[in-house]
Amino acid sequence: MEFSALLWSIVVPICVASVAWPICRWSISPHVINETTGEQSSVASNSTKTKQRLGRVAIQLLFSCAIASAFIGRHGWSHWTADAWSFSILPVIVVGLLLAIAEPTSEKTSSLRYLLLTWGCCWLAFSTIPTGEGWLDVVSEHRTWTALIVASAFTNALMLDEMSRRGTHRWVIWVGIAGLAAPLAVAAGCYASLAEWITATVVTSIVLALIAGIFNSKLPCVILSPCALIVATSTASGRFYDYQSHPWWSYLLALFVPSIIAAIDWLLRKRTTQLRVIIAGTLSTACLALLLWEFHLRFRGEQW
Amino acid sequence: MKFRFALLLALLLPAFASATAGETLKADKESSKIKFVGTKTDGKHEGGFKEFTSVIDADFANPANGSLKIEIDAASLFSDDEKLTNHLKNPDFFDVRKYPKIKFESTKIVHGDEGTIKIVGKMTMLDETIEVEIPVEAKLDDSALVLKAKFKIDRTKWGMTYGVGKIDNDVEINADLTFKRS
Repeated sequence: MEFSALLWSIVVPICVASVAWPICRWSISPHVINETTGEQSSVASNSTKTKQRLGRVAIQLLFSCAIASAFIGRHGWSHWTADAWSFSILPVIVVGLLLAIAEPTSEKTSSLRYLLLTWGCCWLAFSTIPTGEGWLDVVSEHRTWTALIVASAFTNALMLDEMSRRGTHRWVIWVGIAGLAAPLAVAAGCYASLAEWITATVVTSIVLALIAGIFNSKLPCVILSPCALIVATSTASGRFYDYQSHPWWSYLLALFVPSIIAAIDWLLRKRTTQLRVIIAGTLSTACLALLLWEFHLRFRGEQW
Repeated sequence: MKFRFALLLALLLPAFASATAGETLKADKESSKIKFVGTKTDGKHEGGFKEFTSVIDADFANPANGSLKIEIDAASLFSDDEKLTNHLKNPDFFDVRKYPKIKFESTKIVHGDEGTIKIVGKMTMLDETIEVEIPVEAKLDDSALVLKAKFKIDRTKWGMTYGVGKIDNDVEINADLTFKRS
């Protein structure tokens, strides 16, 4: 990996995401989160709730900064709207921030969040689908992919959000990371710039997942919805920039890895955390192995 | 130098004489090739373009008045590796959907050393137009005009900056253009 890619896709995201450490320390109070269930205590004071809201927004800002700087560092401002996928970073950031602000203090997902998420998914699909003279040969696939992007982003965001509220906040981000690794497998074979940006997202998420685990904090889970949006946009982009044909199951799998894991976890919700983590890890590995086989081993070849 | 150029002209003139002064010739698809070789620290890859058109306005009485135009269909790119072809077509390199044509248009044709001709022209790729000088070997007979060129371009001048440091900036171009004369 060349130095610039290493710097902007790995080093900078790690540095930016690390700022979440003091934020989590500052905003979390030991009595606010139930250690075993992850439920928010009803005795949380207004100041604690405000701290948590600020913390969520701050972490979302950090996530946005990390993924935006990874893109701008490599491509510059002028390329912000050069390709459809780069333009879709905007809905990811805006929707992520709005969802962080609109996070309800109660455990129930508010209708406002549904509305924001629906709007965000539609904006994302609109941004992601490449248009113009050069794309006329794939116009027939536009409707299908628009529906898939909306379905994937919406379902994954809701399923991960729901999962994070079942006492999995210490490790649920790893499920989101498995979801991001799927489009990384799709893009890595054909479009290095996109793969680098997904790598930056994965690295940022890993740092936040570690911080969530260390502090037993729910705050970093705020990145799950933007991660779901990135899974959808980058898988679709990976397909549109790939000139080799792959079966539909491979794209469907890449689009819905987080939902598959979250659905299985729902069935196991009464089981021990250890078992749930093992099952989620095994499922993630199996899904990623299938995708790696389809996108890299079945078509052996070399990239620059 | 002057003697060599005179010799080249002397060799070419009989063929010119049988042609009209302003002859427009199109490159023969079967016998014309545009290929490239990209290198990196641990190896190299060869590739090229399957689809292109090339038209030469040959002024045989005064070759300097001639002109050459080449238009390459970027999406027809191929390489020695299927996956690499896939990658080369994407925005990391040729971005063939956004920039479907690579164009060359000569601005000046002058005689060069060793009996070669130097074609100076503007090459447009990735929406950037850069002047290039191409040393060309020209062979003319009654049936065809054959132009052979082997030269290097710095890909970064056109904004193709992916992998700088890992992949060499200079790319070797090998072009064999055969213009059949009717």
